Amino acid sequence: MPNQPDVRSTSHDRHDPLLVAALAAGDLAGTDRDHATDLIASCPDCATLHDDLVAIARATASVPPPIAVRPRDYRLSPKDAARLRPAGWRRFAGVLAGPRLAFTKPLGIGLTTIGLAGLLLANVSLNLSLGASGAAAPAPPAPAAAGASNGTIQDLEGAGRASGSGGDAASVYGSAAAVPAASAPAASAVPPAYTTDSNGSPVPTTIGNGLGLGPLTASPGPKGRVPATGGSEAVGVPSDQNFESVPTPAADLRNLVFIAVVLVGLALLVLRRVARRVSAA
Amino acid sequence: MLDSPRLSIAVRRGPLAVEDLRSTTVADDPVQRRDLILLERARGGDLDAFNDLVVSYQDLLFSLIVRMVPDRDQASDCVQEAFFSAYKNLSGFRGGSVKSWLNRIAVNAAMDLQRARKRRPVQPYPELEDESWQPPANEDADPVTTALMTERHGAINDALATITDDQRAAIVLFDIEGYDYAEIAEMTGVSLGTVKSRIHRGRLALRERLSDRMELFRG
Repeated sequence: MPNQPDVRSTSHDRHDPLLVAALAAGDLAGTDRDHATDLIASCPDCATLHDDLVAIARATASVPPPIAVRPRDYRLSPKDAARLRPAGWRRFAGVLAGPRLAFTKPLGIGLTTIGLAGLLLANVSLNLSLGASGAAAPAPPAPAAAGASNGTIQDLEGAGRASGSGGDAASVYGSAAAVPAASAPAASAVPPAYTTDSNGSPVPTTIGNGLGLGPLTASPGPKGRVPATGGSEAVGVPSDQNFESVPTPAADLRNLVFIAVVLVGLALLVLRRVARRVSAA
Repeated sequence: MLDSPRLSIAVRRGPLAVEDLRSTTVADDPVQRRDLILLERARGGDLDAFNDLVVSYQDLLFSLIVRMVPDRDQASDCVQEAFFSAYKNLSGFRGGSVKSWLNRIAVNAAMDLQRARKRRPVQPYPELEDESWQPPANEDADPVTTALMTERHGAINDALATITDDQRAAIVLFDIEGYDYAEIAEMTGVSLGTVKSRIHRGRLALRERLSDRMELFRG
């Protein structure tokens, strides 16, 4: 009779012992359980493995501890307690890191998010409105230099609009020196304003920064009115049409509030993180 | 302990804090109720109350840890460290069972110790080789049965000492201490599936180590 391979052992090697272990632990259900049950019914080695695992689990549960008597008393002495109990800022850190103040983390995240979103929305809308007013200003024909040297306010406004659309703004300064490139910033979102110095020469001034926290005397430049008197007066006072686009004390206050909210949120997050590290140490 | 006048004051105190209200779900058990009262007093700075908890649970914790860290001195240090940690983190107790909370701290301390020992290997489990202590024999027990049980327990302890720390911890907590999968997962900080896998693989590893002594367990 020819030698036949050990079919049983070969097939058992392909069986999953973890499946049998799971069945022995009672952790299987459904098709897995059916599959494992079929396995131990058809494979004697799997059945032996299953029985052995059950016997080992039963024997393990009855094992007494190798050492039954504790070697010492673990009660804390007052000295231990004084050493372990945090004092001063460590105690504060422990309280801050504790579960009672667990809400500080979501609160910090929320405040930071609200603050950032508020800053973003407020200033994006501000800049958009400034840009829109600068770019979309109506451009009636400029009255050229007609009567500019002694013209009325309405004349000056007309010239300003003309400069906003690319006109020559130099005429609005009347007898004063020509304003260089006055029309160029008019199309930008936040154009510079100009003042005149003691010699009557235009001097550009900075206006609000991106957060709207800049000088409130700033104006959209050539669109503004020109005071009738000479000397060192501001040229870029906003006109009535776009007054709402200029940063106002209210906008500054709003930005300050949002920045404060962001800072409070970040402070809460940092404090809790530091406190957790300190208390863990 | 329960008769102390301070405890009666604690029992009669006013409305519970929000955190305590969660604890009331498990406070029907008088032992747990006593533990919660002691813990509250300990939180208030009463060292005697904390030491009452220590007295209540030090034997239990030591017998648990000594199976996971079978070196007697290391297990003892581990239990002491667990009580220190519990005292330091009294404010971290979030309600529930004080016993489970202490067990969790002790198990974590034991696992930390085992990880540290892996970095600085020493002679593995000398205590498991010490057969000087044996479980007390029942006078009525059959000497043959007693000898068989002793040999069986020795074989299991030897095999337990050779499997991985994670598998041993899971098997000790499940088979010996009687915790369920969810409790073990919470104690050891792993998922339920990982706990099951460790127990299954651990038992397979035990069977492999005991392959030449399986006759002790059959029949």
